[in-house]
Amino acid sequence: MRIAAIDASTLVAGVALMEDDTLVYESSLRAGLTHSQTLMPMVESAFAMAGWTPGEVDIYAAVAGPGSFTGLRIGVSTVKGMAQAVGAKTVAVGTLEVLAMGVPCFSGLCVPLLDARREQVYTAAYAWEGDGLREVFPPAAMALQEWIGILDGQAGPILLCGDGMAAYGPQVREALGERVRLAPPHAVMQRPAACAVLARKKVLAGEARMPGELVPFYVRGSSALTIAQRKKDANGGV
Amino acid sequence: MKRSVLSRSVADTLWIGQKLGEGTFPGAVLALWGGLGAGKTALTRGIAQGMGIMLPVSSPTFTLVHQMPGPRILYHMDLYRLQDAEEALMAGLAEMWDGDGVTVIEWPARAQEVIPDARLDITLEFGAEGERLVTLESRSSEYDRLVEDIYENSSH
Repeated sequence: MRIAAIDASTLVAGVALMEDDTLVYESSLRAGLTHSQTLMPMVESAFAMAGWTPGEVDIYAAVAGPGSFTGLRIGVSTVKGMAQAVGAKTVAVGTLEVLAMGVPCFSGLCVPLLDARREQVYTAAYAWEGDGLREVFPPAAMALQEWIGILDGQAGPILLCGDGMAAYGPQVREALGERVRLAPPHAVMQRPAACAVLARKKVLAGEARMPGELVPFYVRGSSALTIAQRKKDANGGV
Repeated sequence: MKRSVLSRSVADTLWIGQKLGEGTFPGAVLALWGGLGAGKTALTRGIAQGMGIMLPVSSPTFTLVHQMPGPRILYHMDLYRLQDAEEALMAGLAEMWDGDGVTVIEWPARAQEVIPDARLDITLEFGAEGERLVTLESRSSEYDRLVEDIYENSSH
């Protein structure tokens, strides 16, 4: 089974190619939100380097969210378009899960933080069990302080990663102490290879879908909407 | 801080725009209030020039946003066709105005609940014989100097 994993969900764009359980190619680029210009050349280059053609891929996997709304749409549309064109199937993989998969075998709680702006984060918590991730808290958008309160009730070491780590890591550490660790630079952002690995598991679990069924996972009820509601309430429901 | 200045011509409006463009900084947000033909596009043309962007400015009514590259990127938005604030968020506009570029928002009322609080409101009202009353209101002190500068150098 050949898998092509494509990611434009955050500031980092990435492509990985995997054949069965062997990683063949991986590239990751942090060039800001310029995915509309960089992603397709990266995909093209991946196929050229690996000597694959798009038609030889069985599964196209997208990092489907949460993340930048624009980025998610670019990544998901790219995957849908390529899969549709060659008659392949697709798989959606969650951004936070991909992040946690990037720091495997950690004996504690892995907590990815994605900046959802305005003191809010997209976050979740995962534990490593056996040879895979177990979701301890499902993906959600919430105020950092609220999340710190929840994590405070969890024992053991906590490993932070994600693009919100730099901004919010110190606050989390101050609140929860030395048991909070920060991921090293190569594990801060999501790796496309981790997406490919998770995609393979999903396919084996029967989660491959037709391209038309692939949709972004925005994580609704999010930060800014809550703010919008608060402002509306303050203005007397205008 | 709130100051009103008088624009007697399109050239005056362009000049105000240029001063605004020159005074922008990373993350600046300028909300333009005023009806059809009030001069919002002319003002934006001036803002782009003041920022050193040499591209032609047209209204993004149907495209929602024009990304204009230059020394600093200018996001020129027109929210006229949006239904509500949620649509603005789902369109990913917050990713732009929360970033390091400069954002000009036409028809901001459509998404008033979610556009940044720290912004400069610019209201264009019709006066006699083609004149426009341009009111600059800084909603954050970082715009005060810009408002003062334009006020001191124009008719009012």
